[in-house]
Amino acid sequence: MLVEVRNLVKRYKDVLAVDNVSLAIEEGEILGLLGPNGAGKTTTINAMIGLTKADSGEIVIFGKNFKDHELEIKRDLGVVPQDIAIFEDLTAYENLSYFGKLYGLKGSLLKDRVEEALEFTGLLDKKKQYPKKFSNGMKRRLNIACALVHHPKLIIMDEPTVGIDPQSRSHIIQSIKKLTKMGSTIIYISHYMEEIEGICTRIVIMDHGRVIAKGTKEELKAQMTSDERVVVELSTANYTLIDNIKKLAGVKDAYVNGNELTVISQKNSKNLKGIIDQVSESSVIMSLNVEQPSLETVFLTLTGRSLRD
Amino acid sequence: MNVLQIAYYTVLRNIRDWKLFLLLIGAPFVFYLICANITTNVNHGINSQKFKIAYLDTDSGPIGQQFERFLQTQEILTAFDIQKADSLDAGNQMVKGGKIEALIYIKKDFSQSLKQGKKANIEIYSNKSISATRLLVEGFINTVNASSAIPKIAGDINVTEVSRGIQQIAISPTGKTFTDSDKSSFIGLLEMLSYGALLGCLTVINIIKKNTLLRFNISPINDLNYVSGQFLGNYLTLCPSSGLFIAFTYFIWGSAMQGSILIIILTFLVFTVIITALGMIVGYLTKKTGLGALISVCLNALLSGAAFVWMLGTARGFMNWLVFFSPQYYVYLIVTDTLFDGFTSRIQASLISLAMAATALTVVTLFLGRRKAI
Ligand SMILES: Nc1ncnc2c1ncn2[C@@H]1O[C@H](COP(=O)(O)OP(=O)(O)OP(=O)(O)O)[C@@H](O)[C@H]1O
Ligand SMILES: [Mg+2]
Repeated sequence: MLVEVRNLVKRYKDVLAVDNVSLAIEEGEILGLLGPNGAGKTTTINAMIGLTKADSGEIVIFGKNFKDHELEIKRDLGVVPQDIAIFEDLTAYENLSYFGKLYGLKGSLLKDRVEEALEFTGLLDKKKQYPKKFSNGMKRRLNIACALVHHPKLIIMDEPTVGIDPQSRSHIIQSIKKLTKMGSTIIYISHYMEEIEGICTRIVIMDHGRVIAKGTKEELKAQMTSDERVVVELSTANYTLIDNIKKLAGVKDAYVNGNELTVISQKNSKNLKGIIDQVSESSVIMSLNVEQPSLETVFLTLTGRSLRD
Repeated sequence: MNVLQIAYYTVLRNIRDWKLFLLLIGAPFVFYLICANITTNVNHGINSQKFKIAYLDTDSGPIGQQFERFLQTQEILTAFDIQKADSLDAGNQMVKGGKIEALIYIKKDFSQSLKQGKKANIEIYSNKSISATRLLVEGFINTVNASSAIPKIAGDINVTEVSRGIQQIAISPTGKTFTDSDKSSFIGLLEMLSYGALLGCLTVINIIKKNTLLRFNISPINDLNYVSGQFLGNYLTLCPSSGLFIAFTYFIWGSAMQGSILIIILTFLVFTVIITALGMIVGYLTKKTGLGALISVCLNALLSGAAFVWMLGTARGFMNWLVFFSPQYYVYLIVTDTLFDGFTSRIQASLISLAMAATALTVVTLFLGRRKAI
């Protein structure tokens, strides 16, 4: 276990921001932390790394108790904070070398690492510029780079890609995958479901300061008792189909909307062939789409809220 | 990573914030230039140059003669260059023309009036300071009053201003001292220098507000290193203006310098520590840019003001008491005593006071600057 958090509690006056949260992260994992606004994600990780004083709970990182080995642990910790934390009056390069030096890097190693972090975030051509003049997305990228200069064993990223354009984002996502191949373990907080689905090996969902579900994305989806949806696009509208289809095993509902037929069945009813046969008798199938429950629906079912509401 | 690295980047950032930097370095610099123009050179006093005075005795009575004898005594002659005026008009012309500092005029029937128990006047005509001449005359009046055994017979001194431009001439053990304009510009410079406190205040607040403090909170450096690095950085940023001040002191007032320039340098090194610490403390306590800046400025105005009022000799009540907490006051004492060969014991006591204040404030700064998880 690389990180073990047990029974973490943090209360702000009348808000119980973190309510008895326990987390365990294995080496090499990318743990996705999901939850609506105010769920307590940021507070959880802040308490984990000593930015916020937890009311109670035990934190063990790299097999060491955080309280007793704080500086030692911090040496191998990289953090991308949710709020951008860079010096606007130092150039991108200077920012990175300053933070690199805080971790004891120097000389040519420092130089290499700084260049590498700039490359990583696509800022190499902007290294001599002041972040004052950066766009928000560029500041975000520098914010990420600052956490990577010292090659930390554990990287915590709190919504690192907010406000970054899709291309740069996918570049960063690819790079994050590379990081894990190089041996980093990552805690990744995001509101972007696709990012979490794409890179995370395990997911923890939080709400109201509590962990309400955890597991791999397959496990999470399997927990859902939600329905399967089959959407068939037909060459022409055909309303006569519906009665027959509703007789198929497991079908709960079916309706036609324009050229589109939607069939809602119970999970694992294995009636796809039946549907196709029925439709083929009287129409031509233009396309067919089977919708599995997505993480979004998992989330929605668990929290009753959409991720970005 | 050590203190020096943090100090280096702190200086770098302070300098990059060129508007603030210009304000802190440039404003005093402009002030120095102005002061250099208005500062008349230090007065070299009564020792290096005797006071030239003249007297006119139209009394020809015993007391007038006594006065003439008094003027011829050895003590008087070491300090005064005395001549006799031919007439009141001629004497006044000499005063106007700057040939003499003052004319002492003893009226006709001076002795007679005194004998009759009436008040009599000795008049001084001068367009400059009359303090030395006045002392001289007062000295004489006292001997007359004592020796003539006529109680309550007093000689009043009548000072008649011949023209404008009366200047006060102070007297120090060696006869050299700041003129009033020197004093004012000196304290003014000290005050400008003290605005450096704004730097420490603003950097501290800025780093909290801009969230960059977080980077230090998550990095493996210990709290003391971090605060001392910042402290050192701010300190070094303010040093150039102190250096400028020392150079200014040396070149403008240095001609009269008796004591050691090292004492002056040491004083400013310690004073800069105090200014840096004061600013940072205000920053840590207020955590708000506007409020912090306001308090820094007011605090400085108050402390410099106390020194200024004390220097003018018009300090009353609260100010009289506050001056003992004013670092500017101690700096003033040290520098004037050093420049003009003042009391060594006062230099030492002031330096110790400054050093103690600097130590205490530094400790408070380091304490308040500890990063705290909230
Ligand atoms: N410094 C603070 N003082 C008081 N309450 C706070 C503070 N920080 C957070 N909270 C409260 O704690 C709760 C959890 O906040 P937190 O920032 O951890 O949520 P989050 O899951 O990170 O949300 P988001 O997705 O918006 O970043 C919220 O109700 C918030 O109002
Ligand atoms: Mg958050």
